[in-house]
Amino acid sequence: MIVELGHFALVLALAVALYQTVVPLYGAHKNDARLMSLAAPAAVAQFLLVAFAFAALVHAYVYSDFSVLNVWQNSHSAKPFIYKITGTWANHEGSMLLWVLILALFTLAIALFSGNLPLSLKARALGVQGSISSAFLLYIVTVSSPFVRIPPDRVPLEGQGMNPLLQDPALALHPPMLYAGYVGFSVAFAFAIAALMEGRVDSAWGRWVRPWTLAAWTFLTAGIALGSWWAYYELGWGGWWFWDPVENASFMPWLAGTALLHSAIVVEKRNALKTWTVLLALIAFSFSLIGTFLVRSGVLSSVHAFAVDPERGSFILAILAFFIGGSLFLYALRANTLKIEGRFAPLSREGALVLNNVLLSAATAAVFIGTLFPLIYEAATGGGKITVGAPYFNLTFGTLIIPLLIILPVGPLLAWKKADVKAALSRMKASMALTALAFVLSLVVLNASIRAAGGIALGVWLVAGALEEWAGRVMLFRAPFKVTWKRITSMPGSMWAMTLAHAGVGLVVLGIVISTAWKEERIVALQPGGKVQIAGFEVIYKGMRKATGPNYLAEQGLFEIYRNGKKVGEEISEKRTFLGRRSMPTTEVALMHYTLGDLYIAIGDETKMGRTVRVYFQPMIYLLWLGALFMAIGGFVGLLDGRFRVGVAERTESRLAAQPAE
Amino acid sequence: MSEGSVFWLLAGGMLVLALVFMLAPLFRIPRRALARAEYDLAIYRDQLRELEEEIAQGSIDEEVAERARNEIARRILAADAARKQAREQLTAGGGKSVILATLMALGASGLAIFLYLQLGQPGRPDMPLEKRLANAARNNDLAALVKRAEQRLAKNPDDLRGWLALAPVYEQMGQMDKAVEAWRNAIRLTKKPSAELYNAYGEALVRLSQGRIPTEAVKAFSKALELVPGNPMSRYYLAMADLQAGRREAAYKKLKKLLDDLPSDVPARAIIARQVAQLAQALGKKPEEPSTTARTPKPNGAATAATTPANSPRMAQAEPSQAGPSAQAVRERMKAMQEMSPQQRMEMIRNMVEGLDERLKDDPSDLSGWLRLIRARMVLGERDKARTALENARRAFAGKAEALSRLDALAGRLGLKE
Repeated sequence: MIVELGHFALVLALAVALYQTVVPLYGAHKNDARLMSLAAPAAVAQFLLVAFAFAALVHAYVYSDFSVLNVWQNSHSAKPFIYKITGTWANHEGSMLLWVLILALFTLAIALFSGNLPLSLKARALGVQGSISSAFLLYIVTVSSPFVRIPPDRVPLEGQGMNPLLQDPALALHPPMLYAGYVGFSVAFAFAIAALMEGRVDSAWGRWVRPWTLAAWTFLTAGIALGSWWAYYELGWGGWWFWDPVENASFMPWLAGTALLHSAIVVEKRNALKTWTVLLALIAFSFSLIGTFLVRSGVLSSVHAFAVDPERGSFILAILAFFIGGSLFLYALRANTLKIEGRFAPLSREGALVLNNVLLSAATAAVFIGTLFPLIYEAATGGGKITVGAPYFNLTFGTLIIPLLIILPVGPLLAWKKADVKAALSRMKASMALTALAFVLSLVVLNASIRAAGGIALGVWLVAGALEEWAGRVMLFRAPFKVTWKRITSMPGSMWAMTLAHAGVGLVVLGIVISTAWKEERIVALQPGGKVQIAGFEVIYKGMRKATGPNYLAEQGLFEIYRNGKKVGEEISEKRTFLGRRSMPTTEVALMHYTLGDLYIAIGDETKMGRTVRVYFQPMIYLLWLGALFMAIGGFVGLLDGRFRVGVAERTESRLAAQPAE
Repeated sequence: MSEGSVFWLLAGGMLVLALVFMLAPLFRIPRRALARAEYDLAIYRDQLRELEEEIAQGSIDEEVAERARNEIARRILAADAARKQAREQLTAGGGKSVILATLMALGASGLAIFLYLQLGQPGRPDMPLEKRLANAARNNDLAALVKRAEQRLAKNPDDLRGWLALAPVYEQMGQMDKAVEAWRNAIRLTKKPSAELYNAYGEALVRLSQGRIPTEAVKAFSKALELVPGNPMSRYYLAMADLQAGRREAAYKKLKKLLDDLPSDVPARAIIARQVAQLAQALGKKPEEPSTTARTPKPNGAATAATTPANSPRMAQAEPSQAGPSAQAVRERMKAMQEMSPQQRMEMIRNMVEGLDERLKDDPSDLSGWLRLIRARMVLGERDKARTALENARRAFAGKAEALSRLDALAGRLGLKE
């Protein structure tokens, strides 16, 4: 009964979403306050219905109701409770429902927290959100329903189990985070469309859009970081980023979103870069849609996967064409109606942010081409396979992003409108000195290559630059401590956000460069008692044993770690085979964190020579996730900035010219 | 109330709630709507306040502050002008919009009901696993019963009766890996496992490896043979194991002996006879006449038709290639046997032996019948009954030297002589 009620709620949500699209947009067009005011309650109803449908599906998962096709395909009664819940969205149908749930949640947030929004802008934004909801709900209800039932006389007793790779705490959180990021950009998108309809983008608009963009960006940052952390410890290859299309799919909206985040500041502060900002808002969400599409349609593994399920593929393609094509068309029609104001010199903070936009957009395009080219090639040659590997991405993306990273610390020191670059650089003396020192020390003491030394210098430049800008802002050592302290405590959240995020970028660079340049790797076949020497550690393989988990069988390799003849740890590296699915066993690597880096042990197959063991030493790789954490925390702190809570318009001065009811 | 009506009651409630949300604002007195410029003004005032804060803090210098202040002031002036203009533009929307919105909301509701009737199964109950298991017996839900038994065994893996009950069910469901596990557990838990148990285990292993006879199975059959010497199932599979290992000579001997010992109306005879014939051919031996003691009909022409080596131990898989009526009957019987559990199969053989016993009581003049019965009793491990049969036969043929000598010969071979 609950399943069927959930199904009904889902269908009803589609109907309400259509209502929420048509009525407010028509009302805004007619300037009819009554119709416009219908948007918010409809958004609330839509959220409640989608939430109910989602809860019904979770309920079916938790209670292993295998009369639901989706539950049978993706769950197993022996799964731990937490994975019964997360299993709900570890499959196509469920994840699309989660996508719509998060969309409904953001729509609800606009409806509830927009007392400060003009009625027409609010109605239009909610209308656009409603249209996105309608499209995806229609898709779910017609071709991707999670509520399809198995005939009563054929209901199986056990499910087929969840993809074992996904039975992992990080992956339990990864999709909701990622989707919150993707879907969060829909708000900026909706505001951009609404602004294009009204023909108005101004400082106030920038202020309304910024917090939503920042929230989406923060979620997306956290989601991507979790995903790469998971790839690092779960896939057992010792890597954390593979320029895999699925990863690129989430990276492109992040790049576009980062540009949007900065561009929106210019709109708010200077009433400039309007066309840029609107375009970036459209692009960021377009890439979110493409990301969803790429991952969900199966088109990535092969164009053929698309052909296997053309119904879904074409449906999503139609959604993409409608929203991306439609929004860009509207942009082409209406962008010229946006008044150009807020002039600035090329050398100014605005100018630096334009460069930021250009480089980030170009980098996005480079990733986009690299991701889609194999697909286009396959489609064009009728099945020809080609891979675009890391060298392409490192070259193109690297070439574009390095200049951006070099100017990054200088940007915040430039004045609006017209800047004195010399004066700005003179405030970065300490950073420059530290950077030069880092470069020389890397070359001489650490024996680094020029490239590695350059990379370390870049990372130091970013971290030091962010700190020096902060120090200058609070007048550290230049004013009495009392003044500095007062400045620190009264510094607005968005400033903290900038410092944290920019320093975070530096930490990520350092983590990448150091772990790549000094990584050590041993792949050996070991008999019990065999040893491997790596980075000053001695790893002794003690042998294998079997173990049973709640829903898997494990082969555990036992290892002892010695350093300088002293035992520093015993570790277990596992391979798990899960019930319900006869698939590749998953790896659970042994991972030890030390100040200098991570020791990483993954076991492979048993061979004649012994057990294949891969041991890596990844120096300072933790800086990478620490940096990502800094960025995410920065985003969060920025959201807490009280200044985003815009004052509510006063309601005393104008009267409504009410028409008498006919 | 039926499930269906409860469902529609709840779904109706949901629908009404959605309608309330969609339409309620229409019936409120329209709130005063504010012009866009009013909202802009609020923002610019905030911006101005922030700027003053920053100036007070000293975080921006005078010149920049002045520029910014001028800019914001300009925005405020523009917004103020716009506000005065916009005052009369916004309308509340009259009855027309009420009607329009109501129609839209009703249309949406209709669409929802229509779509759901197309896609859903109104009122169909949930089927959570626990509830299904709890009701398994009442609903005669075999799969659920098995699952429940499995859950009990997972908690108490030393429940012999549970394993014994499950093993044949697994075999029936074709889940041989689980069947093997069940038999193995049953053997583990039995103090003195019977030959039957070992045979069942061995046969499940053979079925699991799709006809190959793994070492583990050979061990099991050998154990069974130790416990009940001469039991035909163990002997058959052990012969097959020899055959698979390439020891054709040994296999031939074992099968030949088995054939001689089997009563002539055991259906498996035909198959074994064919295999013996094939082996004989392959080994270059003259196909011997069936032993005089076992008066069997010609094995359905199988010996001439069998050109492929009978390497399959599954008796039923070895189909007689000649489709004579009797071959058909054999095949059907074999098929029936295949679908039985080992216990059932033994039961069937036993029934046939009992039937023969009954028949000979009515017509004791059938010498070959007596010979068959005695051999079958031995094969089934019923030594005492075999001895009784021997004595009855001697009585029936008292004075007939030839018959008595054949009975004595058999008794000697079977070790029935004192």
